[in-house]
Amino acid sequence: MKLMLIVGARPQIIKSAPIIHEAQKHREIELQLVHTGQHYDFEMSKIFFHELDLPDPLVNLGVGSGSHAWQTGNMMIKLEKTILENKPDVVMVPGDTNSTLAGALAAAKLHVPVAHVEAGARSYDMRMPEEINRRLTDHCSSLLFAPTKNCAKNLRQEGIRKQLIKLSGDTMYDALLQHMSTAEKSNILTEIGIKTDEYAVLTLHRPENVDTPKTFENIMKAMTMLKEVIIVFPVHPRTKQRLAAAKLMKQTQAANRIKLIEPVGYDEMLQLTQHARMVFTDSGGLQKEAFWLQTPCITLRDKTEWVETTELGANVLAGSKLQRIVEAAREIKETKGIKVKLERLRNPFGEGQAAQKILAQILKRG
Amino acid sequence: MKPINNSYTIIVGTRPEIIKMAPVIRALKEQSQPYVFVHCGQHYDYNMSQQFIDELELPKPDYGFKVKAYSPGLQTGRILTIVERVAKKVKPRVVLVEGDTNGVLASALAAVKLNVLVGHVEAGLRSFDLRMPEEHNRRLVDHLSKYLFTPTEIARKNLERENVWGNIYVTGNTVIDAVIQHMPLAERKSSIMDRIRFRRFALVTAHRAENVDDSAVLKNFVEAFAEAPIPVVYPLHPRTKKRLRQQKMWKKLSKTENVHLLPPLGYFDFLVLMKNCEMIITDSGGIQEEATAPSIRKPVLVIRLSTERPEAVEAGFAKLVGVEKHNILTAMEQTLNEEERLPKTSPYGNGTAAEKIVDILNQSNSVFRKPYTWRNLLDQT
Repeated sequence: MKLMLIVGARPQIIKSAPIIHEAQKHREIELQLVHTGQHYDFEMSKIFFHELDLPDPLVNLGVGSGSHAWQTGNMMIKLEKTILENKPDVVMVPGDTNSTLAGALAAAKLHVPVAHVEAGARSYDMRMPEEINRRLTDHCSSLLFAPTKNCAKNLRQEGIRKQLIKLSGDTMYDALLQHMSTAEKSNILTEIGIKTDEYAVLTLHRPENVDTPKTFENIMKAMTMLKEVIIVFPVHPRTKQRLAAAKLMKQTQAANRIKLIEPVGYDEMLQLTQHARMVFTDSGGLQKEAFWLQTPCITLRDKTEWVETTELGANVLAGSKLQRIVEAAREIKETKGIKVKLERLRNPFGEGQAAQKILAQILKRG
Repeated sequence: MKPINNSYTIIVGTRPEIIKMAPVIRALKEQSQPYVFVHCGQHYDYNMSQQFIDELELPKPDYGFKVKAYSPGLQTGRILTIVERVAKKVKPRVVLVEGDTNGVLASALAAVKLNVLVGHVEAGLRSFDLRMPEEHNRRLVDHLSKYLFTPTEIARKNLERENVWGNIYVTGNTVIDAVIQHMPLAERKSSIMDRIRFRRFALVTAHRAENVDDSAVLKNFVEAFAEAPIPVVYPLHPRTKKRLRQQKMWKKLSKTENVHLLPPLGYFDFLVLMKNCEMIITDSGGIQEEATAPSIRKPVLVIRLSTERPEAVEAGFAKLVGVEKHNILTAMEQTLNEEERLPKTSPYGNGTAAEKIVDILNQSNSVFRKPYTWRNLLDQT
């Protein structure tokens, strides 16, 4: 049974790690790991592979960055060739990046069954390229692994046949549980010189936030207004460019409570998130990780595909409006025993056995 | 020089797309709306399609691309890049596509990836058979479009069932507009009737693989046409001709007095034959629609086991007769003896679909909400 797993961007690699490790336990599975090279920095991605203890990919297509359509088109062309050469029985695509969609389309057009991991997530904001990738990937898949009941419901509402949908839980949660022991050994806090609860983590990378100088400025201004906490800001190289372009670099560096740091590894990020007072982010994955680590999250977007976290009250959508961000942060600070409250919440993302369930299904259909 | 930026951009690839988009192009022209016409065809039939555009007296495409690709992934990938290039230059208000080919999916995907809104003409068709590549393309294009122009209520229900995010408008099928607009051209340009040796005849088309590749079915057809109660005119698809030869039925059929075999015909010749026949016997999907247009209005016998055009059957234009010789003959007999009972109007609209489409587009505010306007993305290099 040949299983081709297509990854490209960093969150996809995290989501795939538990599946790869699980597949390695089954002798009947021949895993074909394909890296599209969508990630802008191959070296960084290599370190990441090492940290997550992943085998080298069978191929790296080296597509690189470019506009969405160019990237998707080139990945499709190269992935089609890879699929024809390696003849997988199933092509598995996790997440919602251009690599996900290109892999799903290339496979579906060759009549190779597509399995989508993290199927059914919906923000219903069609301006997000990820939303389009998710939707289209779901509609050309023949096995859809929904991380939560809500995701499964979303799929049913789009007329996708029930037999194709499997509730698996979230492989990102599997990954997190598997890494907690190593994450705890990380000394990132000492390196930065901060202590538990005295800081907040900020991550930003979405074009609607960082490409519009005015919006970016609003967010950074809100951060300087939060007097009681230190802001730890791991900066994505793209974001750093934008920060400079928006003439915010000086200002940010001058505010000594804002600590710009290089992007960190997976374990370090888990450690940082776990001990933070709160998290500000526009990423999808970090909203869930904060939820699992019982850290309150403020999402710098108007909509989220992880409505499970907002409905449970662990995550607040603040958009990019200065006032809303500041208020949301104040509310968190003023809520007594918030950690305890978050600890008591049920986890709609499964029990950390998603990878096992997914592979059991794949073998069953194989 | 017409204004280019912020225009409606129409992308066509195949001949059926050109036929069904022609009324939309004309409607845009009539209402003096700025538009850009892009022809992005496969290399092997690009020149023929270009010629076809001339024959339909449509304006010349503003951009033309010959796409050489031998696999679906390569084709989709290439068109994605081409359409992105055009869109960056043109900055379209809306990209309009028609149908369900790989090219349509690629064009729509390129647009939506630039945050340009997509309008899908003939949206909401479903065969519910995911082994057909067209079914994937249809679904995906419907799920990324902002404007879904459906030919019928059934198509609208399909889309509602899938909770598409775009707006659904039942406009009728532009194929009816196309027949109305193209019939006068066809009658002027075609001389096919001079070649037909019968005054009254049934027009036959049969080329679907599931029919002509099945020797038992092919035999049923040959015998039924030979014994038909009315002479038969049968333009042959090369594939059908090949199968007939292989099955040693070619001689018999070509010598039958009652049957007039013809080489494959152009669009205009075919329209004229449809207009002048007594009935149409077909396994094609599109012909079932065209036959209901007011300038044709002919009974159709569908020689297939199922149809994805239930509207034509429900309205009383088409009858699903299957592939048995006896059933085909009985249905022909019945149709001949029947008083004309065809409905006055087509279930696919009254020929104003294109006009409605253009009106709807003009009335809506065709830009994504801020701050994600197409300008953001298109201005990035």
